[in-house]
Amino acid sequence: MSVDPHLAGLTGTIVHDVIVPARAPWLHHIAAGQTLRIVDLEGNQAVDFLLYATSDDAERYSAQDTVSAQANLFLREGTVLRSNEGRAMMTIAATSVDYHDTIGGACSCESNTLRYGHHTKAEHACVENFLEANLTEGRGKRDIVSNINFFMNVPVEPDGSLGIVDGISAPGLTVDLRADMDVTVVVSNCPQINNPCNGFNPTPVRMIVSA
Amino acid sequence: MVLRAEMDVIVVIANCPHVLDPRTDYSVTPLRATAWHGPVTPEDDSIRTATPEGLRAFLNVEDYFRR
Repeated sequence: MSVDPHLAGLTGTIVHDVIVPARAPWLHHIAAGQTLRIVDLEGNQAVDFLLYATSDDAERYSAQDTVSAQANLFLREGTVLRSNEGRAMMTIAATSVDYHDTIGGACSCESNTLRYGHHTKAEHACVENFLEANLTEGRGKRDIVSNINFFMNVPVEPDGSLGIVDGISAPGLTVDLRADMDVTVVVSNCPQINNPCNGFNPTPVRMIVSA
Repeated sequence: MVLRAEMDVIVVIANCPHVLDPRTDYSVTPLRATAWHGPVTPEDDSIRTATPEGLRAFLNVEDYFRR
């Protein structure tokens, strides 16, 4: 009998287990008390991530509330992901990556034109993934807020400058998110090919939900 | 602080203490906000041309407002 290393340490019944292809969107409802594990299958794959309260999606993830409540810019084990109401939406129960980003934002066709030139405007971007997933539940561009980038490395220098540099993730590393309320998770498996956030090579990730 | 509008914008201000303000008393004083007409940012503006990324942001907004 083979043992699946990606399930190590997960207690409870596996209620959902799916591979999100490279460059694809993903939307899933997760109930309070369930845990979502994201597996960076091939390493250095940015997972752009939004959260909405399932009961009322006017309540959604707030980077500002999360950062100011913990008085730290980085998302680590123990970080509580807070809503625009200041409430706990999910908690990082465990992660084998030191820290994750919530200031780098999501790539868009428009931001691609700024960063890399107008010849990149037609390239697929995270905002299109967020829109495609959110539109299935009636949310649009106004509902896309500042997001989380799991497995993405955005160091902050002493003078306040940022870098999107080589990742600190590796094949098989994980982040476990315990839902503190019923949440709707919206993910863009980042298609960016112009900077090191995906190692210039978008790859699949695995989503496992345990109850 | 002076903010120069590069496109037509709506400004919303909430004048209240910041959530991380360490003072224990509720400290807030009035703000004065003044707006005035000025020239459209010229092509050789030093901020507009400071970086290639920033310049492309200005080109995008100029394209957006082309009449």
